[in-house]
Amino acid sequence: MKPLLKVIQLHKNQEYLIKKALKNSRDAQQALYTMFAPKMLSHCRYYINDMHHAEEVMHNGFFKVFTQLQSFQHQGSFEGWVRKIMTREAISYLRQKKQMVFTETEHALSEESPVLADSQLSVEIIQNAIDGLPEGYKTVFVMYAIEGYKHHEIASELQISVGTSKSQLFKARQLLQQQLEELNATHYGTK
Amino acid sequence: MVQNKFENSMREQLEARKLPTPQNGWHELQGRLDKHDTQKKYKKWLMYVGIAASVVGVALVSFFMFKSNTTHHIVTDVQSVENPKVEQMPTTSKMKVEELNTVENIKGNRSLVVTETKPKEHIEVANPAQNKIAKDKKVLQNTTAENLEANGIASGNTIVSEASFQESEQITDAYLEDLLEEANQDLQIQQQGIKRAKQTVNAEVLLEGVENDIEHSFREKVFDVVKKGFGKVKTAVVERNK
Repeated sequence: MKPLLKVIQLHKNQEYLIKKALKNSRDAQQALYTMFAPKMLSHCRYYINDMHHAEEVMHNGFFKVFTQLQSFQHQGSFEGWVRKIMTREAISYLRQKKQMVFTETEHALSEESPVLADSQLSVEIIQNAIDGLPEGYKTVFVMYAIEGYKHHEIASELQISVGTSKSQLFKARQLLQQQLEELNATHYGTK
Repeated sequence: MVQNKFENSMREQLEARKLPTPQNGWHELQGRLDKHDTQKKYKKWLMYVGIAASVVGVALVSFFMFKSNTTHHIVTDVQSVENPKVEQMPTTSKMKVEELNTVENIKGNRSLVVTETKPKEHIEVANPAQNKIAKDKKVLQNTTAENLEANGIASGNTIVSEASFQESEQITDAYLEDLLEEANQDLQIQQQGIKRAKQTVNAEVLLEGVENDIEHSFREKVFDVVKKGFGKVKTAVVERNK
């Protein structure tokens, strides 16, 4: 019962903070920032390799969160809403920097997708492997595999076709498999 | 399944990750938010000032419009009052003069008639014998064709003159009054004709008339605008107070 009560308490506290933040209370806004900033920075880091740029994107995202808080409908979770804003902010940053390039030639997908080895890797290694992917592959992979977007959602967000999204994911998985195999080899080799 | 497992574990690990935020991160964000708020307030203030200025402007314009309208009205009234005076005065004076002339003429005619008739009357009254003689002369003139041919013109004239004299004998005061009335009517008709001929379309008066018609609707528009502005300000103030 205790964890459930804690969750309810946290939710109530969050609701209260959102209401206060809506009234432009800086304390409430700071509380929300300190509550979500570490997670959101990690979220931005999925897409952006450079930590400083990730922080910049996170700040832009929080600025939008606080200035457009009245558009939050209280239908889903506040964290999910903030995450969505962060994702869009990261995508627009990558677009601005013209780092995101999608090869529009649709890949003839084989029936079997490349299988990623079930290995216990640290978060840093995973992040490095993701960082090693080209921007287009990486974005689609993160959106699909980590954030749980569907292909049509990815297509509409990135303004690409569903086929391109699928092919990007396939190539991303292929590349990740190669990288993780190499990492595994080096990892075990070193051990 | 293996792939899903791996991706799920990857997701869980990444979602659980929390990265340390920069220490001055919140202060930077707060600075941006404060700047945004001041800009927002400034924009709001500008909006209020704009509304107030527009209301004042509309009020000033309407004030000047009303002022100009009243002066226009006065001018038009003056024109409407003065014009007849200015225009009618000469006409009335002219009319009077003409009437006087006509009366004088008529009187003159009358006097002429009188002077013409009076001698006849005098002749008739004074000399009935002579009248008889004249009648006899007529008979004689009718009977004697030669005399008629010789003195045709003269005798004819005398007959006409005698007839006119006889007619003028029947002129009474009523007849004179009728004549005067007829002459008056003729004069009035003539003057109306002259007026019509002289009546030029005054563009300014026409314009003023049209403007008066338009200004009425414009005044209503101004009232509407003022009402709207007032409503906006009212709602804005109420919202701000909330």
